[in-house]
Amino acid sequence: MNELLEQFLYEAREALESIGRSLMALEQSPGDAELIADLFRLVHTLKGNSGLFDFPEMTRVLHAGEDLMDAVRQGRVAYTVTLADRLLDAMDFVGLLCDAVENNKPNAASVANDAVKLSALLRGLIKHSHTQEMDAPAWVEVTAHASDSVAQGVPEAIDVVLPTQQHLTRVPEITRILAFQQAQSSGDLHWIHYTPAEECFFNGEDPMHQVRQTPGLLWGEMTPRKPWPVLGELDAYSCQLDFKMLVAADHAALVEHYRYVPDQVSICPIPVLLLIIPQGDPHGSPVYEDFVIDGLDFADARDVPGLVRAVRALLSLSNYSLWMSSALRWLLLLLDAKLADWNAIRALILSLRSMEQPDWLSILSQAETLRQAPAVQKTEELVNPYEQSAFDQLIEVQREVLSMPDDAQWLVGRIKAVAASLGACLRARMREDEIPGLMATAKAAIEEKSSARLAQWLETAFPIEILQTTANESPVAENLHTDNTSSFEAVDVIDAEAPDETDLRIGRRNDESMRTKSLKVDQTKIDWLMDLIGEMTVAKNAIPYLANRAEMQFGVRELSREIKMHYAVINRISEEMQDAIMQVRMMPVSFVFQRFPRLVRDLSRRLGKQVNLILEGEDTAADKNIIESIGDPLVHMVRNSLDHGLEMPVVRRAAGKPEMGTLRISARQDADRVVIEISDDGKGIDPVFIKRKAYEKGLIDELTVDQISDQDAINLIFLPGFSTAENISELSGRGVGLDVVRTAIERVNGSISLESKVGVGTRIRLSLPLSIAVTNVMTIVAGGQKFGVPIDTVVETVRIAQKSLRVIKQGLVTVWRGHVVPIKSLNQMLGIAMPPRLNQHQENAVLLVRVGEEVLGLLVDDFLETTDIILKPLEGVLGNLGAYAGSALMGDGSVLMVINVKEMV
Amino acid sequence: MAVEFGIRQIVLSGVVGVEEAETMLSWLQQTEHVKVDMSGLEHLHSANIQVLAAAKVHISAWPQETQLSKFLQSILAGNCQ
Repeated sequence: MNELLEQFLYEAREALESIGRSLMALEQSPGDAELIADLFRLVHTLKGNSGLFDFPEMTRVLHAGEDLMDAVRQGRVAYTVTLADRLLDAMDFVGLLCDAVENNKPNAASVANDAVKLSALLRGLIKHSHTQEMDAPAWVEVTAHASDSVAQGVPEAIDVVLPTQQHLTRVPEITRILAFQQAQSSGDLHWIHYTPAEECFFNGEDPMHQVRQTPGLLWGEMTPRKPWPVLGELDAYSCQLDFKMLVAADHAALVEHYRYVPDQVSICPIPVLLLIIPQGDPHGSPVYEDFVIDGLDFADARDVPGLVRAVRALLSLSNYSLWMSSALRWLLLLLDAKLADWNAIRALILSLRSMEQPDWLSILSQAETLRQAPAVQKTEELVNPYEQSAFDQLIEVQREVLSMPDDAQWLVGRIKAVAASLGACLRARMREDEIPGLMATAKAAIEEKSSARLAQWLETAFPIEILQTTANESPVAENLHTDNTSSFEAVDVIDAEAPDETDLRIGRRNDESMRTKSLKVDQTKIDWLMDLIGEMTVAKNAIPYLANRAEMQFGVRELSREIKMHYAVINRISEEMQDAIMQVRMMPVSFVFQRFPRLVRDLSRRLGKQVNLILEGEDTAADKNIIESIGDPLVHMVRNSLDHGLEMPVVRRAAGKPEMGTLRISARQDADRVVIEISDDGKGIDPVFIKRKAYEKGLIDELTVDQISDQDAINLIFLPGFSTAENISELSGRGVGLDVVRTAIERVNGSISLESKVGVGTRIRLSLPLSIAVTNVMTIVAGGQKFGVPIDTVVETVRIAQKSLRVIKQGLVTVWRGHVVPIKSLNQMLGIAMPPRLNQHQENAVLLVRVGEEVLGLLVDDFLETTDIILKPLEGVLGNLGAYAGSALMGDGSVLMVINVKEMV
Repeated sequence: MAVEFGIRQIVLSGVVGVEEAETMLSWLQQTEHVKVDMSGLEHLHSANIQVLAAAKVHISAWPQETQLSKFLQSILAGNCQ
């Protein structure tokens, strides 16, 4: 995996988490503009980053999310819970994709489908509210941009989408004939308008190269974006070229080819009929009138050979350069096609009379009608979903066209075109009787020079709800939609003054300034530093020995004092260094806390409970290892609280509590420990119930049932195999539970305790060390060797007279502070064949240690000082030795074995 | 050599990269009525194309490769009167 990808995955995860967090926060204060802007920025950045790689599914979903958030940001769509749900789902999906990328797993085929579905869901929200607001500000805004750009000499928006006849005329007839023939066989013709970003050269792009590599390139041209300035003012490295291309390749291949610049390119499928543009000298003769009459007869009779003969005959008589000849040549081509399009043929023949280009768009929609009509007739429901969505899209486009401002000089043409398309739509839907009404409306609209009337008609004839149903799920609609947006974005890019753009730039700048403050470092590097400082400490600790040697062995007292002085300095610095590295390893508990809002929200919604989650002390920091190790146990306990602790709203009300339960997770530092508490105001744990359950499961015997205190009973839930849940639910209650939690906590030298009151609530308290890197141990001597015992297990060191040790059954005991304490010999346990040494007063050195709740005495030879050591776990074969927690290197170079008291006893 | 400057003539051959654009621009600023021979040209970076287009140079020979030639003609042909 390359570094860039690694970085991306890291950042993506972070961004996903922040998105989740922002959504949660937004749920609390739905109107917070800052949060919304923040959310938009996160999704936007993530989308941008994903574009660096070849993850089309991810980019697609994120793009939809970005559009949605943009709509929310501009107030076009209101924040709703559904919106949050869908966005969260989408982000989960992106997270899954990230996982797949990280594990190098190829995406399942369904992923693309899921991506389409998710983005359709997201876009559905935009569309939905877009149609709710009749004035649709988005489109108005886009057209405003478009007219701005016209003023600046940049092609107008409509050019970006569909080529006009003017453009197609520029393609030589011979190329168009070639394209026509290719389209007959392969079927896909596209018009590409590529507007490279001005600064693209600096990104190492060469648009010319990109264009030349376009698959299926038939024809292309480039034009300057605006008239060239005088040479002195020309900036060679600011791209001012626009590219237009006619290609015969399928849409997916083109999208793939231009996947790095989707916002700069518009790829529009063009109907093949649009290519038929007769060109040439517009002179004619009466012969042609006869031909038109005969030709129409042939056409009505569907007589292909006859018509071909007639065309050939006339063509041989005509001058090649005539407009007529060109039209006849096209006619031959049309007749040559596999399926003769008689409508087109008739139109072309008729055009010989008027010498005017046939209106292919309206013929096209008529043809569509004829093709669709039989299918519709058979059964209304069996309409091909593909066609259905195309149809919906068509209506949608008409709606958009009508919502544009009326000040354009081509308004009349526009209204006519819309009326023609809608007429065809009506025919396709077998609603021919409504056509006269439509035509009348269109006429009125033209007279009024306003499209409002037609728009009104559209709303009644094709209400929005019907369109909504299929458009949401259909891949076609999705494709078309992306095309639209990308073309509009292209306009945005050109228009540098657009407010969106400036906003984004500010966002980016903020990012940069934030980035300089923190540094992302690989954890292994920190561990390495940690090891080094450990060695440094050891090396430093050798200096006092040296000083002693200088004094004792060589008798140089002066030198010894100087060495000691220097040692003090080095000692101070190394301690500070150690502190500093510890600080680096420290992480705030918010790292684990941040997943709770989402968890609690999802679970409570699933369980039908109302929960108010309060997080406190998120800044409390502890070592990374500790923080990471408590993540899963905490999740487990939160689940337990939600599932078993908090009651349903009805029960709560009956018990006189507020319907909304409170779950509080707090963290605070207590001396050198971190204390984390999870408390709820739920039903609490009933000790009687626990006792019965434990007894039923055979975990305790009858005697214990009677004697055990309530608190001890509650602690039974930490026993392995204990579960109170009557039914195994989805969330918890599988019997692997709190014992696992306890083990996990104890593994990092933490402890767990639980308090509960029936009807009032439960509180679980975790106490964890701040750091596990440095361990404070007490050194002791046993059998002439030094051993370390972690200081947190040591209760007290006492000297006990030999005669105070009693033998009860097989074990030694003594009475200490009024308690009977069992005593064990460390030598015996370690297999050292030596009795414990006594001091001159015949006293034993007894180290009192805590094992769980019990206190135990260990007979040792002698006590030495306590020291800070860096504990290294045993590795390899030694790793299986449970009796030792690890080893540490001492200042004099010797190795200290640290005893794991819990395991040994 | 991808770009050769002669007396009022530029000969472009092979692949001409983005770095030539600045040189060509400053040369063209000092020279008038320039002819450009592209017969041996295989690829011309977009930046160079704009410089040539803005300088309104006369193209004395188009590239042999048809596709490239057509593209260049679409923007540079207007200059050849």
